[in-house]
Amino acid sequence: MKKYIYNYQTIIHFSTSVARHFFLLRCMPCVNDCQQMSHRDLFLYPRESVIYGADAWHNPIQYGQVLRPHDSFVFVSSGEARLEPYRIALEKESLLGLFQVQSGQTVPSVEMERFLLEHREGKSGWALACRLSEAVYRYMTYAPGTTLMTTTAAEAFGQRQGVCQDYAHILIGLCRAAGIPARYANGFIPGLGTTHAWVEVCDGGVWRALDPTNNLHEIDYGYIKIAHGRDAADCPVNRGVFRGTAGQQTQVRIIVEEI
Amino acid sequence: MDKLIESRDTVNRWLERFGVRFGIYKNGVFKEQLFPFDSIPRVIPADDWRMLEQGLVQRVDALNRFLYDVYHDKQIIKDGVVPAEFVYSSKGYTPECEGVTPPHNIYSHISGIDLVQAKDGKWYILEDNLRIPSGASYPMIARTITRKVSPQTFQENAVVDSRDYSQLLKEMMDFVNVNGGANVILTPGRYNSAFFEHSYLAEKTGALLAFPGDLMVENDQVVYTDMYNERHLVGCIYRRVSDEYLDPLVFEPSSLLGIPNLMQAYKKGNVAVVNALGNGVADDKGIYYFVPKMIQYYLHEEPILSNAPTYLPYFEEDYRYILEHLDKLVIKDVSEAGGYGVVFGRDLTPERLEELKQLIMADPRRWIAQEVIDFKDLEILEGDQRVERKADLRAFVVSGQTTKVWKSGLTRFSRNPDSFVVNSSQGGGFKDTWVLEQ
Amino acid sequence: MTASICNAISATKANRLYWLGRYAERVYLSLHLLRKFYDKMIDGSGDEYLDYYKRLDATTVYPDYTSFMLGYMYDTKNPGSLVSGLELANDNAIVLREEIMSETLSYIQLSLVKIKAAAAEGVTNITDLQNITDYLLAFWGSADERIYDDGVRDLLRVGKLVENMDMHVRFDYPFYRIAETYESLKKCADDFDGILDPVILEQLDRLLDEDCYQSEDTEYKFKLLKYVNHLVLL
Repeated sequence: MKKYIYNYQTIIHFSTSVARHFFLLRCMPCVNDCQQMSHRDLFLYPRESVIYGADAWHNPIQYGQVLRPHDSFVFVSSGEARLEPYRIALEKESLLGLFQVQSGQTVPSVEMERFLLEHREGKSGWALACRLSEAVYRYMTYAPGTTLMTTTAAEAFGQRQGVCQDYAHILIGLCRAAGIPARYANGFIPGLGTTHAWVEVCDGGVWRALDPTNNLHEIDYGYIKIAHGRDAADCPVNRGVFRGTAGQQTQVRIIVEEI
Repeated sequence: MDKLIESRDTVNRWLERFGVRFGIYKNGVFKEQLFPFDSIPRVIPADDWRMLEQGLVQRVDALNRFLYDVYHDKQIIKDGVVPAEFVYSSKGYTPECEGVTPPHNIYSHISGIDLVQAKDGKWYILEDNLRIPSGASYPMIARTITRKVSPQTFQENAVVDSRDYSQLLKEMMDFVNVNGGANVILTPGRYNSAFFEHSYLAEKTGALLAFPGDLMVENDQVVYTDMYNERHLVGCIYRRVSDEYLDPLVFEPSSLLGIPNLMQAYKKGNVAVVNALGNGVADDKGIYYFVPKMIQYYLHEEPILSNAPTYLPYFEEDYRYILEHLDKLVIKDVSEAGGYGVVFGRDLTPERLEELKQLIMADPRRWIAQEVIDFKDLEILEGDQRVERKADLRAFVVSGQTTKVWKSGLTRFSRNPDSFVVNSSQGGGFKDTWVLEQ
Repeated sequence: MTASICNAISATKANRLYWLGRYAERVYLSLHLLRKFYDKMIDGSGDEYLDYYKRLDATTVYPDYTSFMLGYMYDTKNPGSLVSGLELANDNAIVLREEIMSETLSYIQLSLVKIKAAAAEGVTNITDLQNITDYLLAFWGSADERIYDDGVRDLLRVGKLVENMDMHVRFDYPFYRIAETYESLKKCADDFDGILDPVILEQLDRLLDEDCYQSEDTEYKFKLLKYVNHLVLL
């Protein structure tokens, strides 16, 4: 067991005052077989009303509203996590099929299917997933700013560059095409100032994790998960709607340290 | 009945007077059009109706069971009756609904089931509409008018009174209402094509008509805010806004029509949403094929009403049949975006047929094929001439405490003699649908 | 569980009821005043219509009588025309069907259909628009008969009375007519907490004094109209 403290801050500045602001956040860590929380806190400003719930994948969500006018919105999620090696028993067998079919951002292109064939070499399951993860790492160039939140696996693969989200989508698309159930995960890792995305693959009734961006197979420690889903669209950290036509500027800071 | 038929123009003037219109966008400009009423009714004898009624109740009950199953234990998938990928890759499958149980387990409260009658009198189901089926208001208001315009006709013909649709709706809404708060009809607004219907149903059911922004979720409860900024609890929302726009924090983020955090209030059981979210998975063109199997699976009954004979190239046997008989079949592309649409094999040149064959072979899951049904055409008045035209029937099935079929329906017809497409936005009209007492 | 009866009126709905009342009354009174001016023109110089038009602060310019007549009645691009008034009344009525009932709405629909048909035929004789006057009277009758919710009916009436005051001031109606309407308006608005601006109310109380009332004085009139139009907070 290893212990980590984390502190995740987001400050959104609105160019003009907004009101009737409704939000839904996924900024607090999950609790699962390999991730227990000694404590987890949420600071919100302004704070009118917040409810703690769970989404369809049982990820923690924090939602509510700020009705009165405000020109900034701040949330700070902090706490202490106790991690075991990254292995999560399959939660609900009936949902496994869902992670075997492609979703909006993972649909592979013809080139990706060809790529899969080239790297398959008789392997399957976890071994194939690891091989594909490495292949994706070698094929792609990490290039921030070249893709968007909505970029698909096929698009990123086509341009051979992207960020962790794109690496994850490509690997998920390839795994699913090979019949391996795979899902998208995001959260915090030590030493990185932003959220990170990786891939969970189900092998023999257990979810194990790979990080294609860092060419890391079999993640063990240090990955604090806040959400998983079919792809990034299921796991947005912050969604909000408000009345007003303000522009937004967002500052994010994350600190994760082993203690 | 002749008296009534002669009064077509009078009825249409009354419809105009009441603002019975539907909106369409033509070249980006919103226009409200009258929906032409044809005075020759579709008459359904009592015996036929009994059979239709039983068949429709059976079908809708099975579809409701299916929806519950798909979002809970998925027994039908485990038992191999419906393949998992048909469910999960359906555009209508909504994972956010996993494990969410709507009040009384009812998903499809108002089902619009489209049927056609073949020349031999046999009825076929064309499609199930379980999301936001529209159109009941037109025959509803038409009947109130025709009864006034030609009372003799209704004295002489034993036609079942169909003016109880709003009562059916109201009873259903009261039944699913979770907290005794208000019943609300949520409309996307005046520029929605069916706005007349939203406002008319609100008038007739006594529900509040809410526009985007009128409703808000606070502490997991849905409230309607009045002019004094006071909150009124809402217990049932008959929404005419589709799933993807219903909660901008869960679905389409740019939606201005939705109610932020509605999904959370709904998940907690604090509001009934009519129809439930996620129903699209059951009225998918690819799932249609499995509905007769669902009836057998859930109800252990033989389907009373038949599907139009349908083939899925996904299955080996069907695949071979389709490729051999492509020139006789109707082919439908079930992929939503940029689709091929609906094509009749008999209309294609040999080259185009070959092209289509290649497409089907390349991606079998994308297609379904159906036998061409020899429609029984209905008479309509074209000027003063009686001519025959294609028509379908949308039956409305309301599921509350029990499942009931509204004893009428929307009969739409095509004006164009060569057209199989019965669609109000393409110049068609509608008729009253008479169900006879005996 | 049986739903509770909810007569709540949202702020948007209240605003629409108010404007429906105003537009319906505006078109009704316009037709009435127009007929009076046409009558004046028989014995007068024939350009009395200019005076009529001026009183409405209209901006669209029509070079002669015929173009005025057709334009003022049927020009959909002129926001002050009769057809525009009916369109605006209808825009509000159509989204209030469940409050005012289809029957009440139908009189606005009928008016609109009628004026469009008259426009298409180029009808210039105002007696041919008598139907619209009849429909608008029936509209108010139907509102009284069929709207069971006092709040809904009174909000419509608040709009009607404001418009009535506005038009009567513009056309120099005698003091007692305006004062009576003002009293009705205050009474009608009484049930709605805070829908009248208290500051403006005070000003109007001061201005609408028999000794103070000077319809000839443009500055006074301008002020009065401004207050009338800003009185209701909807």
